[in-house]
Amino acid sequence: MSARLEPMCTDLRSGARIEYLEAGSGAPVVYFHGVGSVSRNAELMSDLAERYRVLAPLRPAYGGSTGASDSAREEAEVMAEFICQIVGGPAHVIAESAGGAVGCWLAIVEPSLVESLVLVAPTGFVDDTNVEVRERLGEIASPTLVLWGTADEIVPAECGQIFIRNIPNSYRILIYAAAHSLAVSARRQFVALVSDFIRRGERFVVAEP
Amino acid sequence: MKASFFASLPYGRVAEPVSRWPVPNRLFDADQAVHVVASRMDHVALADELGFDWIGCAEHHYSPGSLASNVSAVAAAITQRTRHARVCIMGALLPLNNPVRIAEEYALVDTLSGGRLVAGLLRGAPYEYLVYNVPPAESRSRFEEAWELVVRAWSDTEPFGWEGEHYHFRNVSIWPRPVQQPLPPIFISGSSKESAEFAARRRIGLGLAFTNLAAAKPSADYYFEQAAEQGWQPGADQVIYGHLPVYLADTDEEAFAMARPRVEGNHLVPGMMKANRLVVEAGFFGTRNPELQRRFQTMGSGGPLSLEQQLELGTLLCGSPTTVLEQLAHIRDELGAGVISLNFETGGDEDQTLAQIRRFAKDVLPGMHQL
Repeated sequence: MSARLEPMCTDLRSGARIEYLEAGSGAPVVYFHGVGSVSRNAELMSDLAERYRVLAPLRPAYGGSTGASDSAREEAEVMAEFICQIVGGPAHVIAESAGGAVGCWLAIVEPSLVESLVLVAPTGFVDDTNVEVRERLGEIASPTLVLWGTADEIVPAECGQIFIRNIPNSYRILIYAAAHSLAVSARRQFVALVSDFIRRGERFVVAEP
Repeated sequence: MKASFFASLPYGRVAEPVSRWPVPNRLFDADQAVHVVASRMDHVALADELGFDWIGCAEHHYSPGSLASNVSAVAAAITQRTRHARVCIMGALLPLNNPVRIAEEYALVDTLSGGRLVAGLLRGAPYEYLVYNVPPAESRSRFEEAWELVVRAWSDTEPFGWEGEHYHFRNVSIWPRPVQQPLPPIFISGSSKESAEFAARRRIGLGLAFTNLAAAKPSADYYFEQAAEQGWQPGADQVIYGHLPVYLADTDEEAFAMARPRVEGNHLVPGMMKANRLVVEAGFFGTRNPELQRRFQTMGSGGPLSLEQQLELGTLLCGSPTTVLEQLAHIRDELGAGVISLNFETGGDEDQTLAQIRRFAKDVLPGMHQL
């Protein structure tokens, strides 16, 4: 059984219009995409939607979405409004690649909206794209899972160290032989790890029978 | 050229001849084991004093051929009896063990030795796969994943978890890390082209063991070729060949006379040959190595080789010091090998073994270092 992603659209009170895909029911999971569209991750989101209510907004300036997009911080504020309006409370946030900085900002500026944070091979942290958020990673209070592929040729797995060093409740899992786009190259492991992290929180480091 | 003294830890004679494998341990005598292990550790200390460059040890199971069931424990003992020689683990058999544990143990050996570890990470001979219930057909993919996990555990300085095909860990952050930075010297066994290519791509060394010059040459050549393609040139210490039994005397005639009765019998244990065959048939070599597969399936069927045939194949060193140096130079020329693993456990008594070790250090080692 695979949950069907419905294209949706909402106008936020601030005036931004956000297109998004939605499927499933259960604990809300909000997915921030990287460069490109969300469609390449459709299978992953369908898998997650078998257990969760998955919402995948197109970030401002992607597709028909509008709103402030000059910085990841501004985007995070738009996304905070999206979550308040559509979810109405905290959500598990997955932030992938170039969307990683948006997820980090959201967890810093609106911690009450981020039940847990999953960073998927976030980009722009070893170069100087995201200097400000890099320096504030220590403010992220949500339990944070960092996923990385050992065969990532865009951002090598070593780049994940900075998150573990700075985010207090953070865990990093390397997915063997997986490339940058984990949603595509390691979908099965991605879904299993994220589901386990959402279900068990920090207890997910303990082996289960 | 460097000399690696192989501390194989043989148990020695057993009370009755055994043809099966695993060898039943009702034949085990604790006093003999304690004695032999202590005497071999004395050999190790002597070899270090005499200037052997490396001391090697290797994991083997379930037979009196070697008592090194946990090679890290053996290597740890070696570190405490040596001051100068590198301690070469040749190696732990990666697919049979917990890779994180191997990373920890090797790092501990590197620490105990003050940074003298040479880290061999091997797949092992086929028959070893009957030991811990690891499917032989998964040997290569387990090896490759475990190799990457070990190197990650040595080099990544923040905690991580691992989600692989064969291995799953949520928390890895080993203490101690290796002393040698960024990594200890690493080599893998390279009897097949796949292994040679794997080593060349990762810029690590190649160990050629339980083989002969003719069989090892194609994979050594392929290793150098692939390394050149990757834009690097392996160092002299990165091709290791052995373990060669040593028979040294004043003249070739005397050496041949000493060696002939010891090497011209058939020493292959039928049970071990059968174990090899069963494991090979279960897919140990995969589909790309029909020649290796055939070699293991037919091993021992052609009857024992003569001393002359074995010399031609480069599977032992035998002769006067001058002749042995020529044999070493030939190996270097054929394989590009810069380290030779030497086995002084050739069936002689304790005094003969010690005499051979001393003689080699005096009459061959200086010349070998010039090669």
